[in-house]
Amino acid sequence: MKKSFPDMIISIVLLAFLTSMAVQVPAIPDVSKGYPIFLLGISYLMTIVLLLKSVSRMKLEEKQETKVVEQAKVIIPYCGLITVYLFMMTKIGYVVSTIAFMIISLLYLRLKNKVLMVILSVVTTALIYFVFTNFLVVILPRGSWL
Amino acid sequence: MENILIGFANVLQPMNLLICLGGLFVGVLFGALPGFSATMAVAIFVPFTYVMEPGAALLLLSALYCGGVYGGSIPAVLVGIPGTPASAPTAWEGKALVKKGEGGRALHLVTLASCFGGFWSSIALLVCAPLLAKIAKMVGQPEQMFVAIFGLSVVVMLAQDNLFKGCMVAFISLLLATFGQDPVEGFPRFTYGFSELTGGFSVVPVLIGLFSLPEVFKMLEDPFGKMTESGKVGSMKLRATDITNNIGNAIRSTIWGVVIGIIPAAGPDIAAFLCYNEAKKASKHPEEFGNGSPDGIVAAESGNNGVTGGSLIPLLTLGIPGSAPAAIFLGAMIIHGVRPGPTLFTQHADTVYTMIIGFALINLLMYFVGMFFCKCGSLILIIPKSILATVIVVLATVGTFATNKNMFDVWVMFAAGVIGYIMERNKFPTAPVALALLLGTTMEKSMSLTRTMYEGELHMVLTRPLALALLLLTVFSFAFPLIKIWRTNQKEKLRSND
Repeated sequence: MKKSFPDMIISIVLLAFLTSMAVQVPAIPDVSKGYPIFLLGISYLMTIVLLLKSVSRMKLEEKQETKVVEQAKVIIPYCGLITVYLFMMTKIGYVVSTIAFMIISLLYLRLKNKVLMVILSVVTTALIYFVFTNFLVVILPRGSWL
Repeated sequence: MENILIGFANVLQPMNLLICLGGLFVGVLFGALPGFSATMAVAIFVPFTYVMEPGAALLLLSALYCGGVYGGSIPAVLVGIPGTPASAPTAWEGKALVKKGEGGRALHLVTLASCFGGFWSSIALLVCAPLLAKIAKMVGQPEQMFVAIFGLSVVVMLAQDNLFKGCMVAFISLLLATFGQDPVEGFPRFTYGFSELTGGFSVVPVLIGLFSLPEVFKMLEDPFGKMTESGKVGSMKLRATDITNNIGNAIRSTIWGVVIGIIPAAGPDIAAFLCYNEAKKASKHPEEFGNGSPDGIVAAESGNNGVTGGSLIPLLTLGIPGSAPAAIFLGAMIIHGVRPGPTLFTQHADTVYTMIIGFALINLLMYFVGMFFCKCGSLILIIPKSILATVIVVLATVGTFATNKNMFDVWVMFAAGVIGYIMERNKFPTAPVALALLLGTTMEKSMSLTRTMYEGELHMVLTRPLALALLLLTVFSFAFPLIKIWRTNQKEKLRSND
């Protein structure tokens, strides 16, 4: 992968994001839109400069070997695991989802001691639940499916 | 003098000392948990003070406040997650010191600098309150506007290595701060149809995500074999140079902290960033900042704890709460029949001096309580990375949920974490995001109100002495690092020509 390739991708994504904001500007009353328009203008300008710089740099650069693909193979599934955890928290509640997440996460990250894995998951979840609900008066999600 | 002695006598009563210690323990715990803050600690414990004597009640709230501001720095050092936004600069330096195996030294520095800042801010509260109250009276919207712009100047210094990307991140983050109702008219902007965005992005979830999840993903970058490895705590002993080199730095940062504390809406978060920036400017080795600089830790910690005493000055002398914790203090004081204002020091001298003397003592006791927490907390470093990564995700999730009790914030935290990781990998600084989100709304509101105040004739702002002084400071703060970068580039060019 060329060194400036990520900058190019980031600037394209940013341009799309800024455009999604620009589309909403006409709906804002005049008195409230001056400041965001100013920031939007500068952000557009800087993102375009970054895009042009990265494109011109890429032409001169040679491909480099990186570990991006290997690292992505580990990190992306873990992000998926977190996404499922957050989604399930509202469905099956904090306690069950957190115990399940912790066990799966520790298995994925190759903790060898299985007894420790289960004890740690149950004790940590219970301790956090106790502190947050009783001591800090925060009602954690109970789950809509249960 | 007589009142001061009465204050001492009240504070040194065994029950009051116990209240101070208990408040500190709970306050540090609140600060250390992501998503919780000093303000929350003070708010939750107000009802408990109803049955107490006014002096004891204010001592409890002061201990919770000071402990909460300090506590955020312990996880900032140990796992790189700032318990509160004010600990973010400490996280940068603390993390680097932990990697060098000097986590113990970093924790000791944090504790010492916090106690120093907090103690001297309480002395300022005791000695200079009437004088500093005059400054507080001079602060209006134009001054708040310049404080916000001054705060943003930190971006230039923090992003010295990649100024363009730093400024770009700052502008886009300022744009993100405009999400939700505009601060003057209340019109909802850029909500994308989400009712949760009507109030804009909550800063705490974004910061928890930005500073915690990238650490987890970085742990995952290691080959799986290393996930069972653990870190080293290292000795908690300080080097002589840690103290001798940092006395001036700590004094300067404490003064900044007190002054920022006086200004309404500018709290420990802004103080920590500003003091860190000033320390970097003054340092003989600015290149060490970001790589485990003790100066950075001392500046941020003495600065953010300096705010604690400063923020109570306008409250006690004028009855104006300049920050969220100060507003809760005001409520508690009124409940106890102690009305802050110019007559407070004569009508309720015993209560107010008990509180101020207690404030100083609390900051001294904080050293011992803090070291106890640091010694217990430092055990985190010997936990294998696989366990640490899992627990960080769970704590970040629960801590974020606790902030506003909704799952939307948790998703925002997750998105901020992923974006923060991508930014770090591609050398986009994340610090400007924190600054812009913290200062964006204040800046827009004060700009808009200043324009209305002077009916568009903004040059009239310069007739206000404090605004003028802040403007000059802002210009200097923007220009200094730029000149420094330009001079370094010139030198490098000359060297390459030779």
